[in-house]
Amino acid sequence: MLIKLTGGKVYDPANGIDGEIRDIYVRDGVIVAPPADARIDEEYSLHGRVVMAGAIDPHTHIGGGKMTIGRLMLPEDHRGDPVCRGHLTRAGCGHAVPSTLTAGYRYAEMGYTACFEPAMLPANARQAHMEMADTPMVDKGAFAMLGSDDFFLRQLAAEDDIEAIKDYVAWTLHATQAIAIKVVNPGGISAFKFNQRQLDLDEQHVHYGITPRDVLLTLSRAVKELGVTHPLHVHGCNLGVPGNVETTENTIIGMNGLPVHLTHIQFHSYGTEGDRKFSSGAARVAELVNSHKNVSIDVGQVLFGQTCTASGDSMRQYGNTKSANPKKWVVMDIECDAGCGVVPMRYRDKSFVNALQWAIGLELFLLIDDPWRIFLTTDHPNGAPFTFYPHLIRLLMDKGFRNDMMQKINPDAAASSVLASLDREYTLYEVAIMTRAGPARSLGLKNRGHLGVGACGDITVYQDLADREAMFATPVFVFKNGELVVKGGRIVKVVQGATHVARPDFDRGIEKSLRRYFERYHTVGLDNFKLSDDEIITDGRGRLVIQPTAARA
Amino acid sequence: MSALKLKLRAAPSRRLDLSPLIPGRLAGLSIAEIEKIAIYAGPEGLTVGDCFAVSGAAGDALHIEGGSDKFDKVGAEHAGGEIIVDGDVGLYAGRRMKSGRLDIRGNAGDCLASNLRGGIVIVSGSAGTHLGGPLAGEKDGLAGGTVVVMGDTGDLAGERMRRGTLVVKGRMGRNAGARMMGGTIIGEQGLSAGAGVQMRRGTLIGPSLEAQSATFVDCGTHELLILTIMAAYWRRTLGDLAPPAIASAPRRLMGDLSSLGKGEILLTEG
Repeated sequence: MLIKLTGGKVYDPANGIDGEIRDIYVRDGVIVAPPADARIDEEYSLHGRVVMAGAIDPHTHIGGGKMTIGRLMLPEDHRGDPVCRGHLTRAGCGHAVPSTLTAGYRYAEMGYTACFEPAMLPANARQAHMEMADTPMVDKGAFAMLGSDDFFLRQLAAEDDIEAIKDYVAWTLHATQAIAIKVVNPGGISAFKFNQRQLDLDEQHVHYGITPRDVLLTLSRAVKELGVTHPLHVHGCNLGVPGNVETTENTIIGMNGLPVHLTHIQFHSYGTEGDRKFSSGAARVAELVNSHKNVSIDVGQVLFGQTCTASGDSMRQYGNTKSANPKKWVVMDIECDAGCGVVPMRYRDKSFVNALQWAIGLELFLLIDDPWRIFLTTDHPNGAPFTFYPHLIRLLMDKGFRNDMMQKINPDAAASSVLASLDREYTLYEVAIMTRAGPARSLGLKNRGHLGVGACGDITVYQDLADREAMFATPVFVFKNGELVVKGGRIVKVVQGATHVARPDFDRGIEKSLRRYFERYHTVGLDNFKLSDDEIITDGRGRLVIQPTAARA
Repeated sequence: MSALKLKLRAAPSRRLDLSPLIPGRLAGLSIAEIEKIAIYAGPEGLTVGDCFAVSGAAGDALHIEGGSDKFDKVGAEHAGGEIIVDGDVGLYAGRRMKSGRLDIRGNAGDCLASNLRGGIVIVSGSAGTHLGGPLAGEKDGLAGGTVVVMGDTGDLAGERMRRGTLVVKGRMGRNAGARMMGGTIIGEQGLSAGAGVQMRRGTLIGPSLEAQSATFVDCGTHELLILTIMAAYWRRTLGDLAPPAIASAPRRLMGDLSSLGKGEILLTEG
């Protein structure tokens, strides 16, 4: 089967193509060089249209226990947004925490072809993968959460050999079928259970005696030396606390050049200036990110409306419970190894704090120069549901629109932000980097996020509209593995994506001490804890893609 | 003033969502426009015109001729004006209604007047379970307004009630006023077992109680002036439908002591 996409304006930053008119050939799901005189089975004439690789969301909460808690807790979210059964699609519901199927359909209808769940704690891996298996249309993958689990903190406190820690990290990647490692409030989730209500970068955990800095340096080194492509995915200390910009600065500087990805950095860029002791630290963070090439970030943009925050950071989510809207929340421990906090939130444009959060996110987007190191996220559903991405892209690409929206927010917040003075407008090329090439490179997805020969046929075609929101909300065509799955923003074929994993080499001798540990402390046996490949491939619906890792250093 | 009339063409085969059909939303629309309103969310799509013959002009009053237990959300969010249904209705009739009048000349399904906030709902037949009850995730059941049921009610009438009045002329199901937080429930034929279970505040009134729970305390008989004031209020708002005035000093049970215990059950016949 040979498909030809004729005459589209191609934006393919990974191969340096910026809006050139090109033909793309896809044979059996893979992009190929123009064949000499082969018969074209299907041809799509894309003159005047914009062609990009399928978009990739590197940080979106679409699986794992906390989404289920959010769904259970917010029946009104379901009632408010019912989706009826279509001829191909199944029924679903939900605005902030949509049902799995609806999430998959909505992503595909927006031109996304891969999504990554960033907070899968190992004890919940089975549940997370089952939920992702139930999310159709897109490729997926998950980051395993370490850094507040007892086994690792014991290793760290006992000053174990780094090799042993590396083996444990690699074992976790294998056992949970993850593609990267994430750390959430390093050591803080555990400290919360020892009655600590904050844990700054150099503050000691009262039980283990370790500091978040130790956790970050050790894990980041382990991930790097194991050869996992995606650097340590860090949700730092003091999320949402005014003045946390200091912590963020110290974290960036303290990494000593080790590669690190700081996630939803908007929530970590708050100063304490002004009458209300809440101000933007975006300029300070942006300056440091610009000068530290080892750091990449995603923003976690806040957009106004009802949503639901869900995080593994039980310490900070406990602090947020007072702002819960509607007034209900869950903060819980999970298997003594991690935590979980789900707090519904309504961001209001007339609220000083919410409006400034909105402005801080946009400032970060506009002040950080290198689009290869900044990814477009709302930390779905923490800042806003992912369905707001087209709106966010328009805010970045259209200064006039951005200024109009600024007129509507809390005037004090608008006055205290430098946003109005920022003239930058993102180009389509930069958007393509931020939503495709950048995440693919950072996550180590070899055949995704670009349109070169050998790439997977995940392609999105947009109409070149002046209204970028409308353009990105309803792509004309979306191809998944060379199959047409979305036409005019509507699903025309339901497919099942693959699960991406990373499997660095490690010394299996670690299982000996882990087995002893599991037998003594865990509720589940070691062999039942591990996820087998069969569980992902269930009935042949799923598929595993093992992304390459570099040789172990 | 002539009412807008909707005459049912044939008994519906699937559940219909009639929540768009309230005078406030129909005001100013032509008959052709009203006929195009979707009342079924599924892929088949059904409109008012498919199910009803529309006549008259949109105004303060809406008259639905013919009923069915598949009519869901009749008068939901109704605010001002009158809706009359000549027949049965299904689930969630009068849900979150704000003001005005909803007159059901037949039976109502479950969750009648769910989270009602104002206005008057009258059912000439019987009502299902969870009368006034909240939906999952909601905190309040009946939160205002008045509901009169001429027939019987199912279990859990007035569940999580916060404010307002519920009058049941027929027999009540079990656990009326469960987890109630305020308001008044009157069972003219008496209260069934489990009345007021887990209630925090509020008042249940009836001639008798089927089985008194151990977590309610008999506080003796009382002359309560407030009952006279309430009777006058009922007569004013409900006219002939008002419950009979309470002559003698009722016996007062306080509870539920397994909860806050500030609720009361008033028994008018000893």
